[in-house]
Amino acid sequence: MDAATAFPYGLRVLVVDDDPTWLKILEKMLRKCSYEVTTCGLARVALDILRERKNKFDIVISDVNMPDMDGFKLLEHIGLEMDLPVIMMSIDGETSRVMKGVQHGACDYLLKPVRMKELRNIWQHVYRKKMHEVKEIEGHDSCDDLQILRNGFEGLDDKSLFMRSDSDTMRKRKDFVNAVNQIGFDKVGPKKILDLMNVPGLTRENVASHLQKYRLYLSRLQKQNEERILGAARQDFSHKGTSENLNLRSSFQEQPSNIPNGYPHASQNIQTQANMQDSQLEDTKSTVPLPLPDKKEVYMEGDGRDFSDVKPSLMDCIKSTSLALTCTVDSISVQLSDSGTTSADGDLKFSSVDGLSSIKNCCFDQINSQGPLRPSQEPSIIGCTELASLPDDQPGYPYPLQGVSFDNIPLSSFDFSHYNDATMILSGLQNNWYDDDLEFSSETMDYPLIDGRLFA
Amino acid sequence: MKKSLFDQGYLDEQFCQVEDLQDEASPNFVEEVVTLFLKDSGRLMSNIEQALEKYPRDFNRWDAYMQQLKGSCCSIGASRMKNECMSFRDSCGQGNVEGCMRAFQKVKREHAVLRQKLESYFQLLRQAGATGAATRSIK
Repeated sequence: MDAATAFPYGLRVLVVDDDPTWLKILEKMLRKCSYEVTTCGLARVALDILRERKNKFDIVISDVNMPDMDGFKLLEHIGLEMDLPVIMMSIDGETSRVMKGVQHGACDYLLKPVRMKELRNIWQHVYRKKMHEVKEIEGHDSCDDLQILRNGFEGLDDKSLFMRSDSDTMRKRKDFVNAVNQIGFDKVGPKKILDLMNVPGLTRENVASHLQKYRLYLSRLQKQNEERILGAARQDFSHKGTSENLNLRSSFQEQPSNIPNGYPHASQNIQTQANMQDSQLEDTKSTVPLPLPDKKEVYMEGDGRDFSDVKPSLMDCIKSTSLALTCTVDSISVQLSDSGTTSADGDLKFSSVDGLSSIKNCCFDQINSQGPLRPSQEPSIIGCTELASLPDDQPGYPYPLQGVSFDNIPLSSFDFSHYNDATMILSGLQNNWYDDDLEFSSETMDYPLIDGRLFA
Repeated sequence: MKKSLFDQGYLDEQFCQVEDLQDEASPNFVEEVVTLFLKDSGRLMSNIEQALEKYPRDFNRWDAYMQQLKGSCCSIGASRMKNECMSFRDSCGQGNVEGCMRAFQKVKREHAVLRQKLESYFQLLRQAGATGAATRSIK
């Protein structure tokens, strides 16, 4: 990188700090470093700015203690949504805090009062990222990527060096998740994702780092959601339809063809469902316990949607319902189509989205007979809806939380009442959800085997 | 005068850092920053005052507010004030209401004293004419 030798004048920095005195001082210091500075006193505003002009910044510096939003949360958001390097600052240099910063993805953690020389060095974080990208590409088979990157770098001046070619962050993110889901969480790798996404200029490094953050994010969310899930789990059965806004996109392993793309983090739910085992399920082909994955997270998809908006209700429901859902894939075809289908009881609805097509391969035909799954608008639990419509003895577990992009699919009436009788083990599903825990009974697809005969 | 401010511990090295930032592009930078600090810290202190009254024994809240104020003190190197902030936080940690009240009074006092001293300082600078020259001579 020729540009590497030149000092990054004009590095575009966004500074976020609720203290106006600090903000003024930092701004001045950064200006002295010949950086281009934008200041912001509120974390939320900072996020808006970044979302709006994501490509206009190279690095973000933020204080940890802010009244309107925790600095760590901001850090996470930025890492996930914009994948920009973030530096944290605080007068508190306690190791645990610093550790927390690192865990949340901070590139660096500066102690206040910050010195000029520390600020002068922040550009290295930006460069480091770029360097990694180049290295990744070099070590990579594809010469094309390297070519793109090299070409990209050569013609650019310092500023452009830091810019991302793709301006459509949301779309990219969506593509990313789609790709991950399609590939299968356990098989996923930056290269595969990159290929699938097919975004010019996107490097493997971008994807790799994003993937990592995604995983971290998901695991953190999962922990948060667990409690809620546990709480709600009890009532799920009796509850007919809890409307929840579930924008989930969980990554899980799936075989491209049969596996639903979007599994809501309901994988956890599946676990709870174990309680509702129905003896009939013994008929089913395989039963795979759905262990509560530690990694299934809910990835909130949607523009500027708060990632923490994951509604565990879905999970709760799912959890409460029997996890042992065995579905014979071939017998059940989930009609996940955008046309929307509503289950007979209309409680569970599939959110059919982009990735749903794969689900169609799933054997949820029987389920279809129950009624259309209605995706989108209605609060639908991604994948689990149809259960409500399934006759008692059916382990209908249309878990295809396919809804890869469940953006607007609220998780609603997740009526698992019917589950009482049905033990559905989404063997496949489950396995799909866990990166490392495959108890799948292989077969066709890593998909829940829903015994067709279980469905009326 | 500045020397005495340092010697007596009112200000620490951070203040020098801020001064170093002053340049032709922003010739009154230091004074602007100090003014901003004095104003904002006044706001933070009244928050604390209200909290002390409205939320009795809410040490967490008090501590959080004081943490903000302390952070602010660090910005210009208001050393003595910062120390009083820290002792307030210590009292919070001990659950000592009396201690907090006393410490807060000290914080207020330090703030008032610092304000006075800084204001005189800037006045002197102005009287001395060029800020740079005044600084050098006073040093």
